[in-house]
Amino acid sequence: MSVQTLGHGVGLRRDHYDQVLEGETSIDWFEVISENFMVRGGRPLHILERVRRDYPLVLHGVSLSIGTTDPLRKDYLLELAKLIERVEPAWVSDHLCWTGVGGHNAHDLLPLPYTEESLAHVVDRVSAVQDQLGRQIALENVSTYLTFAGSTMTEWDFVAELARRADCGLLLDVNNVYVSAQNHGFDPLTYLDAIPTDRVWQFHLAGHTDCGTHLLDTHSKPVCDDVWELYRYAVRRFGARSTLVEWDENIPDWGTLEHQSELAREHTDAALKESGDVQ
Amino acid sequence: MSTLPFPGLAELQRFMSELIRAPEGVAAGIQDLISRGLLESDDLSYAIDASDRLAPHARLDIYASMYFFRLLDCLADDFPKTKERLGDAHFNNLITDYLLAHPPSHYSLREAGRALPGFLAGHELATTFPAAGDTAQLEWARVDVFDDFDVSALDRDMLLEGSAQEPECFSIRFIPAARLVEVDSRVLAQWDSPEDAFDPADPGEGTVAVVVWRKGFRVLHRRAVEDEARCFAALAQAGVTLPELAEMLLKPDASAERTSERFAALLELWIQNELLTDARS
Repeated sequence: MSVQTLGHGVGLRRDHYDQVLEGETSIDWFEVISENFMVRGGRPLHILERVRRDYPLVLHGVSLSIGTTDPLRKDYLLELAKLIERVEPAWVSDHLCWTGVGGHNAHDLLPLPYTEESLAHVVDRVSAVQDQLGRQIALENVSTYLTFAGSTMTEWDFVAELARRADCGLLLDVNNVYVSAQNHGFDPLTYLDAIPTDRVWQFHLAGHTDCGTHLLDTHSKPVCDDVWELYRYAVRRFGARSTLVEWDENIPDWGTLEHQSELAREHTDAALKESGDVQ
Repeated sequence: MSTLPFPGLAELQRFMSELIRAPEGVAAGIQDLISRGLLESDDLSYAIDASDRLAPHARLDIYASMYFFRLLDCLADDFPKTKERLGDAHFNNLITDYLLAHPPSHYSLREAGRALPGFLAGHELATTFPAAGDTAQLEWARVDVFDDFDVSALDRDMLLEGSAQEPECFSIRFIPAARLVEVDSRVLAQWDSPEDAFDPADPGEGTVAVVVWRKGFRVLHRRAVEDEARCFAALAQAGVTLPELAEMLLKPDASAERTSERFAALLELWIQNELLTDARS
């Protein structure tokens, strides 16, 4: 699947509905959390349809739980398919993780061990989801706070192999690469260098929190300088991709968020100049 | 150093899920698994890498904290008045117990609080905070109608036209985004005047019926008026024709004139509230 480059977007959050609907924005596109709109009616769907009239949308899920050993949830996929039909998103993404097991949903993005067993399991499930939805999906690398003693491959090899075998896209979260690299002591450039360029559909950027013993992916702050630097490296390697700034806690005023997106645009332009690939 | 083999994916997920959701934290969860014979020792290095900065159980604790606080925040958003009544510490304890009894299973966080009102009503906190379960029940009803199905509400002209054209079969019903809850009258009084302290010694008026509904995008509630609660189930579940509704309102001791007045007043109220829809919609 060849995906369109949408430019620079932000996550659509309730706090900013009025500004988005009323004002002219410099934002090219919006990403929404799919589950927030898997509802029967009311204001959320009304807002979503209003925004969709004026902007491209991407559906980004948090509960697909592609890595769980529970069966795929048919009710979830049916609701997702209905939402896809309703808003015709540019693409659909979720996370490379599991969110619960035994019928429970921890609403947390839990890490997978990087083993052949996990890889085969996730590849099968991505294929099943793509068959059911009739379209490819993109999976996002998550921030992790632990690694498994039984992992037999690196995260970047796992991600790259998954994309090839399952024939899916990747949502490369640059902040998550940085957070995990700091937490586990690997070189984030090694990670980016291992990811096949043709699989990356989208970048995520966000702020994180330094908890002393580890970095936490809180989406509660501006993007830090180290992540901007890593982002420029990613743009030089992968080229311009749809880029989105996420901010979910301590949500700032609209102007601050818009400014983060403008900064992303400036870094993109600078990186493209650096690589001689000015667009 | 443990020599246990690395578990398969299913076993690993079961064990992590138990520890992340352990109500007293990961360390206590590990001891619980050991006592149940599900774990040999507290050495988790066979499964999770240790580092200079964090031991395996401390790494799991990061996930456990995120699990609890994400749900606590979500439930605090859905039940702000319940939280205010209980106070932060009691609300925190309530949610700890609730998540143990009702771990989330739905794909949406929006559903996390569905069982909380009933759980709180039977919780030990209910003795210290009478009717707190009713506060939660009213808050949940408001959450529930917020994003319920959209339908067109009937206005007066549409009602007159429908009943004139098909007097025997034109039927009406309540919009889907409408609920009837029964709560302690003091809950309603305090909702309207939050500055008034909830007085457990004041018995209030007992239980009252409250209609919760969405008008446009606004969620509203009010005390049910005379006869409304009696009709509510029929109008919420299926359509009723106007003659059927009139029959529901008939009381043996009331005059036909009085019944007719109540019938007209109820219809007028429901039209103003945008509570009615064509049963075929």
